Amino acid sequence: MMAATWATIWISALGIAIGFSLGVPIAVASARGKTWAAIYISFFRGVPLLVQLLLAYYALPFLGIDLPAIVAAVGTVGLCCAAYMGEILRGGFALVPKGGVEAARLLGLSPQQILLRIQLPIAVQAMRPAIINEAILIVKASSLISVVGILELTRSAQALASSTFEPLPAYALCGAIYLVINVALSMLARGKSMGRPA
Amino acid sequence: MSTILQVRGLQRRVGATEILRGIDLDVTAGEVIGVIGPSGSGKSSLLRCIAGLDDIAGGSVQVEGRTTRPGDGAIGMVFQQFNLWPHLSARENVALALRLVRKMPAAAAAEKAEAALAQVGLAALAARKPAALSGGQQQRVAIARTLAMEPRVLLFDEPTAALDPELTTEVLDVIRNLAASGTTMLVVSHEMGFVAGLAHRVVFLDHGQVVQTGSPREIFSEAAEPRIRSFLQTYLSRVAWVQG
Repeated sequence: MMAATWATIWISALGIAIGFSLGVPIAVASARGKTWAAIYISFFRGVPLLVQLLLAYYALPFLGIDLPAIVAAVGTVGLCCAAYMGEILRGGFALVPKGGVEAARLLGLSPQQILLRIQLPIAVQAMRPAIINEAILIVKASSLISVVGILELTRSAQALASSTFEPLPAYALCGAIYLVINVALSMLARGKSMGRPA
Repeated sequence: MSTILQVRGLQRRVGATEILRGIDLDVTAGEVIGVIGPSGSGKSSLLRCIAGLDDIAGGSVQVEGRTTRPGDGAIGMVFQQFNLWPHLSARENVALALRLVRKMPAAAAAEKAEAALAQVGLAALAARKPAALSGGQQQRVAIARTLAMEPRVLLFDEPTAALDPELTTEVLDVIRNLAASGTTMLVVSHEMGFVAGLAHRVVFLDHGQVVQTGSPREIFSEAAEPRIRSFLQTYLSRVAWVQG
């Protein structure tokens, strides 16, 4: 169960990292009204993650794309997370005061520097509760990747319950581990506060 | 004295509304220009168009003979709402552009930022974030941030309008010191006494046009133009009411 716990942790962490990294350009594109961003967000939010995993692992080979289980799992979780992160960050960008961007522009910062050094930190700070929420949802949703044959925490608990015929301790332990991971994640992400708004 | 800022036929339109109707202005090095006028006369728009933040419908802005664009370092601007970056300390607010735009090493940028903050009397508060500073202190950080980039012309857009009255003095003192050190400035302000005491020349705007340009005495004491007299009477009656 220890190995499965680590699998849940690193797959979730990678999925969240991919989701956040791709969420930034998706948020920018979405804020600019790009059609591809709207389609991307609609697809990944509209189709259940379980179905996305099944498509990535079992359907893509029919199109000649045969992904290893771990790539299909992490990739799908990351891409799905990116759709939600994109929407969260788009909301955050809308809260960045226009004046701060104008000041940066006048001081000579490039559009990319303004995005990464001014808008993104302010947006992340403003949307921190929603981002933590999404990260926690990803940790919990990672239980679905067992559908492509990866042994993660929930699958491991199922196996333990089946082999011992004692479901209560197996699932109670599984739930407790998820709880510890998510409480730790929540505390870690709380980090340093910027204080009251100016 | 040589002309440092030259504005010619500056026009701005928003839809069918003409915000600026062909503004001409020459500013010599070290000169302080006070820009006054009623609300909606185009004062802030004039500064924003000179800075390149708002699109212009016609005319030109040149600093030392070169057409400017935002971020080229020719023009610095201090805003009414400070526009500091809330996630960065005062020192980082000042140092960020030095590092990213001027490509200064982090230590040198921090040192220069400290010097700029010391110039506005805030060296001791360099580590504080904007939320932990008063409005006046935030505006002084904003001034330091602009000064550190050494612009050729400095624009102040109602720098005390968002401050409580007791906090305006500290900001006005900093601007006075800059004027005394020979900084070329355009100052939009509703603090008439401050403008009268600070500016070498005063520009009165109304409906997007320059109604009159002259020395503080010519504008505040001797102007015959009815719109200027009416504006000043309204201002003085308000001050008299407050004092009474």
